[in-house]
Amino acid sequence: MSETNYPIGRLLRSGITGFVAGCPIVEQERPSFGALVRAPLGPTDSIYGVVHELSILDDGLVRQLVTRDQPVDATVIADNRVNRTVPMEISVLAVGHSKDGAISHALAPRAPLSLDAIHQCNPEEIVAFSNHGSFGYLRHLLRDTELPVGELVAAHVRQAAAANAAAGKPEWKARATQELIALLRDDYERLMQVLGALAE
Amino acid sequence: MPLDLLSVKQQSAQIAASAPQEQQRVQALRSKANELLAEHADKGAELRAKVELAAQLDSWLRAAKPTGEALTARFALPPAPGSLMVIAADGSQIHPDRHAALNFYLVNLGAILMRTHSGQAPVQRVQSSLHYAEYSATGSVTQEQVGLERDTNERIFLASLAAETHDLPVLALTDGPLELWGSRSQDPQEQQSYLSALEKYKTALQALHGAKAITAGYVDKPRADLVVRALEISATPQEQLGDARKLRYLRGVTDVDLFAFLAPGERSAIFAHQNHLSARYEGALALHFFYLNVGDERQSNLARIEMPAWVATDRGMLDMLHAALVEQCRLMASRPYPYALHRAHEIAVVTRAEKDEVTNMLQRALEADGVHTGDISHKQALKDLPGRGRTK
Repeated sequence: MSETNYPIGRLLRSGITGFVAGCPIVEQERPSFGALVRAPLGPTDSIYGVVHELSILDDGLVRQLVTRDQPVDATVIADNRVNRTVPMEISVLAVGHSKDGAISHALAPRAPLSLDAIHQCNPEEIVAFSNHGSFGYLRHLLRDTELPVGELVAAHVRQAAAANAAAGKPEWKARATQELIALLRDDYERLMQVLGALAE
Repeated sequence: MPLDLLSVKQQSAQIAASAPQEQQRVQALRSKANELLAEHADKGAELRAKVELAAQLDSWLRAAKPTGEALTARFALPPAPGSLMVIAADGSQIHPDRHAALNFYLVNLGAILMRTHSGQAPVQRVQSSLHYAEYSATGSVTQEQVGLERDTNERIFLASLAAETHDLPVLALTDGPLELWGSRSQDPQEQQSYLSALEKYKTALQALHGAKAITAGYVDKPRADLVVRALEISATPQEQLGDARKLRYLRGVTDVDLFAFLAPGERSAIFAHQNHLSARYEGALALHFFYLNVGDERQSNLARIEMPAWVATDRGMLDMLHAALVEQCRLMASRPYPYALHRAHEIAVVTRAEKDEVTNMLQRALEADGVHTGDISHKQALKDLPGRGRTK
């Protein structure tokens, strides 16, 4: 991960609890499942979220092309990934916001707007966000029973732990794990899912 | 009132009842046509002379003229071409609508430039041209005139894009016949407009020739009977040649029926066009065509490929065109059609939403400059009322 943050797409639709961005289908590592991203809320504020789904939409032509019983031509693949207006959708779960530079792990008071640029947070932003308060943002990752919570939490914790370790906070992962155990103390099944995924 | 489905159902049943008989009639004619084709297989020069004689007596005659290849010749798929620059262009439009609030039309051209086998994403180009409050020589601009402008500019666009490529052989494609279709109006000014467009079109063709580009028009699901017409002329007595256009012994048979013997990947012999405009495409621009089976072992699929003489008479270009088209079609698996042409269509097409957006954009611009823009017609307003499912 480099020192900058990256524009990864633009907002397609949004709500208080999450938003969806679109970007052209290109072969890139970013954004990844579990990554911390942010969208602007006006000129100075931001809404933070964790990527929980990356979906690539199909259309009639793509369906037609895959019926070929031979490999699809590389130029055709490049055309469909770069040129055609079939975006990759990035679904984000909102986990907090910042107002006038102050981070909060509460949900933002409003939603980002269509076509706002979504950025993947750089390590400094991850460290700042993940060390604010007492891991309050993790509760947002645990609340949606439709999501693969264990995998999502594990993916995020791995990325945040790497950023924290690089920033001289190697104990962050143990503290985060303790907080997860506390949050899931009454839900043994999900706790085991999370711990199992973290151990992978 | 909704559709009278009961009546339509009865009519469908009547049509279906008489269809087998009609099918048998056409099948008998197909057999006759195939016999004539075989009979004249090596008499191309004789048939050509007879078609030309008939055309002298009636310049509106449309038919195929054999070239040097045997009529029943079949040419196997040449080896796969190396890297090519495949450029395809297509056009779309917003037609002028007398019921709309604004008197405007738009021609939109889309093109794609594909470096085959490169793995590189092709380049897309769009050229949109908006026309407001314009009139033709005889009044409002018609849909036919918009079509003429679109087709002319498609070829000009293609020629300009071909001129940008210097490192690869260029295959420049459009959908449909290569011949520029124009007004059938007898009005001298309309005819003059057509001829003026034709000159521009031919200049673009000459530019493609100068650039050594292989250019072609791709006709999917052809229903023409140009070779069939030539065979009808072969069976027409000399003294009736002046009436050859009306003497349709093989009506119902199409060229696709004649060339059903082509195996996947094979092309037919090359033919020249004979019609009242073909003489305007002189020398290297003279229009030719062949049929090509772009299907596979499971399903034959014949397309007509139209090309100018400079391609038709150059075996290297011809083989490259032949092989590249089959390759392009096979990219689309069970729906063989050149991939680049489909993409050009995708780029060019103007959707209903875009039409509304252009209308609003133009209306706002005009009103900002104090121009009164009027309103849609009452008829259109009523058609647009919610709850109407029918569009016309």
